[in-house]
Amino acid sequence: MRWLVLALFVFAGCRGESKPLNEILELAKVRYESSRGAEVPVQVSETLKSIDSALRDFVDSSVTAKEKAKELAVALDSLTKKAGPTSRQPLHELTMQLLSAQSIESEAERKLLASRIYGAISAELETVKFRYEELKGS
Amino acid sequence: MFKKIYLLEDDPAHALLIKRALKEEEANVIHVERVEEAKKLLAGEVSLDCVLISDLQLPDSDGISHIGVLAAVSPTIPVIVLTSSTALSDAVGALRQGAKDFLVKDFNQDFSNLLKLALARQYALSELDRERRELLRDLNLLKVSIESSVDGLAVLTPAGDIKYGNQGFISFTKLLDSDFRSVLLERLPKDHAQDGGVISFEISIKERAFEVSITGVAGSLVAWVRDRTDQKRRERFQRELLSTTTHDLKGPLGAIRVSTELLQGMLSKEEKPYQLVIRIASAVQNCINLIDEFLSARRIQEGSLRLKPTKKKLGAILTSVVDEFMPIATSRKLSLEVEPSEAEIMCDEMGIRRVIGNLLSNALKFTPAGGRVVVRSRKQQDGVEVEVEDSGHGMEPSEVQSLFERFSRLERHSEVEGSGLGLFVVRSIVQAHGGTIQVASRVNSGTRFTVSLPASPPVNARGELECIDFG
Repeated sequence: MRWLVLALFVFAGCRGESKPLNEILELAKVRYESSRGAEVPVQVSETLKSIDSALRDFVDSSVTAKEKAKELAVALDSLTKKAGPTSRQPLHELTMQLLSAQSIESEAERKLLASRIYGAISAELETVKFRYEELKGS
Repeated sequence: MFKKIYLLEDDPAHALLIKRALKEEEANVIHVERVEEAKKLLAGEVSLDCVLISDLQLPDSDGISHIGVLAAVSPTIPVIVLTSSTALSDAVGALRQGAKDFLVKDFNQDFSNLLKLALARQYALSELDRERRELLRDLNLLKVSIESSVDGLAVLTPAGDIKYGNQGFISFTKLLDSDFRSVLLERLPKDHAQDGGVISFEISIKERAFEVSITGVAGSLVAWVRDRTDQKRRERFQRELLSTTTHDLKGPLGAIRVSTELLQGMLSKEEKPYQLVIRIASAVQNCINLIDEFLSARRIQEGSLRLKPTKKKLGAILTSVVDEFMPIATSRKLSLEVEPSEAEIMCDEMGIRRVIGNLLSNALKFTPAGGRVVVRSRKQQDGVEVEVEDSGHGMEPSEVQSLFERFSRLERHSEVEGSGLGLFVVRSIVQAHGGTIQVASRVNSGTRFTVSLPASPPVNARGELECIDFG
């Protein structure tokens, strides 16, 4: 079933059509799920779990959104230091977006921001896997 | 600005943000996620107002190589890379592959402005590039035209060194060795580096004739050289042929004139043949006049018309010329009067006779029957004034302006015989005497020519008057 949804999304993407935010978020989640198998340091794995959980709450509830945004910003900031150079800039920018009231005031904006956070983390998991310091040392 | 923006972005969230940033642009944004899809679209694109914004690290591309592929598919469409990567190697690599700009994704509040600025910059560069290509095309066209011209074109430094010479110019220099350049340099004007004015002159080397025009452009000299050898040769041949033919015609015409005079003496004025002989004599005289005018004009042009002034009684000359024209005036039922003065002047008698004769001939031609023609002379403080006045058709001011030019004929009276050289000869002879000629005319009232001659005309070392063609 997941592959069917993915295939539909890819097909729509190739046609150059705009996607509703729900689809964008779903696609980002799918990409994130498929990249989670990457071998990451234990501490990072824990942080990722907390981010995943916080993102779901962040999207669903406007009441707790501000609180969750701060929590997510702290977590992303800790991950930024471990990420590769290519991911650092987007992760930092997302941290700054989380701290901006404008970015979290509507559900649509929160969904878009969540999608981008999933996307940025996925890109890092697919490449450096938050092991930049280790790679640099080797 | 760009009419169409292709967006190659695999991250839907980023695509959405980029589209939002471009919302105010009046462009059609076409989003694709795969390189293959972008290749197909760009290959079929015919518009020049397009741009591609491309991400790096796409699912069907290994990093930056797709930039080179897409730039090659449509070289006229500029590629702007928009990526999360801040790596210098990616930026350098993408630019080497053909990207025109490299932007880092930073979706903060300035993103839209930064992206629009990048597009505006790219559009300006595209416009400049288009202009440059058009200029290059025009330049090539001009170059081919200049290179294939048989005329010589050269750009020279103010010192006369050749910076550029087309094939025509090179062939002249090869043909004439160093003579061509040295003669050209000799004739270069001293203030030649000035922009604007054109200086033209002719040079002759090794029996060849060249017409040279030189103009100063941006501190250099542009010389245009035309080989006039063949043209000069043809002109000389035509001149000589015409000159010889007309000169040779004078002999037989003279014999006819003398014969008509003899015939007139043998016939009674009442007889019809007498009238026919008069007509023949008049026609022959017209032919002789035409030939004389042509030969005189040619001598003036060549500077070979010799005028030798001697002291003469002007009144006697005027009376004599008027007497010659009296039969014509009578036959045309015109009143011809002369009011001579006792003045004496230094003049070339044949020249002055030609002047008065030509003016009188015109007056009789353009005055209808019953009209009046008067020749009068007055002594002035330092010379004399001769007037030839008629009550004829007169002229418009515009007709008077070109009256003394060679081959000038009045359109309104094109049926009247004449070469158009008569008044050119008149003016040249008067000017050779240091005099002036003025015309006063009114349509349907008549015309008055006033010739002013100085008492002592300007003579050269040989005591001759110089007849110069000012035309």
